[in-house]
Amino acid sequence: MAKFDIDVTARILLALLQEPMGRTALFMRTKLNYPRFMQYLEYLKERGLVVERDGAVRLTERGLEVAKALDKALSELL
Amino acid sequence: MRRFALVLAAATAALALYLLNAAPHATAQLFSAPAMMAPPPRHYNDTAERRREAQVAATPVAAINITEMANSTNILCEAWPMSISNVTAVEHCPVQATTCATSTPALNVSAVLTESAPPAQAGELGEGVQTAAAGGAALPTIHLAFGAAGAAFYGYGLYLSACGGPVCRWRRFRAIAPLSAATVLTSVALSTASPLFLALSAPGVWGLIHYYRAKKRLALWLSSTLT
Repeated sequence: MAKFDIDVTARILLALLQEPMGRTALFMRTKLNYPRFMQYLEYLKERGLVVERDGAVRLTERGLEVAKALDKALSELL
Repeated sequence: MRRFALVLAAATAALALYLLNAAPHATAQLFSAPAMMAPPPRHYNDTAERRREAQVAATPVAAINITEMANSTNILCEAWPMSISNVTAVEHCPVQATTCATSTPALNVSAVLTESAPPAQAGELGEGVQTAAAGGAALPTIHLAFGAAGAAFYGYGLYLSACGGPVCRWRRFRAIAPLSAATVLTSVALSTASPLFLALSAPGVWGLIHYYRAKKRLALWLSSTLT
């Protein structure tokens, strides 16, 4: 099983917290190669954090909670 | 945002101090480069003239070169006290003159004196003068490397922290590491000037410890959330 970096996961969640976006736009934001990006997307989908709907990747309820908690933790850490 | 601001301020201060310390060295070396060029080759008729040339080069500012000859009656008031016998003539040369006007054959030259230093110390003094002309001691290469690495880390930290939006918080969090490293590296580079500058590395070390501890906690929390 491939290892998943906290850095990329956090970037995806925080980017989707800003706004839902298409798969290609998210792929460009993550600065990964496409197969690796798809691995991350499947990983987050399996854990119920993101969902693809109407051609856009968006956060689920749980994903929104996690992303907000991450954002709050970063505000405290900075 | 206070921690990030503190680390950024410390890194900026350390880099600014390093540049202020390094700039005079670089400027002095740049402008002293022509002075360090070798003079054109000369043809010496005898060893006395060669010695006099060496003495002129080694003489500090406002020194007077005095050449004494045999059977002289002139007394030198300001010459370095040493036993002089059979003095016949006195010759005063300008400080930087390469030749002195004299009517005495150079073959009879027996000694060359300066008023500021004995001949035994003139060589050492000359080396000091040459070092001063070269702009002081140059920064060691290892400290230049530390300074350059610190500047590179600082640039990377600025690149990471120049952003906006929620992702920006993550990037600024990540920027703490290179900015702290830049603080430590530049303070080590500054330790050439004074060991007190090593105190500047304290916020850098604190920033690095804070970053890695926080990242470890975030990774644990995120992995527990995602599983």
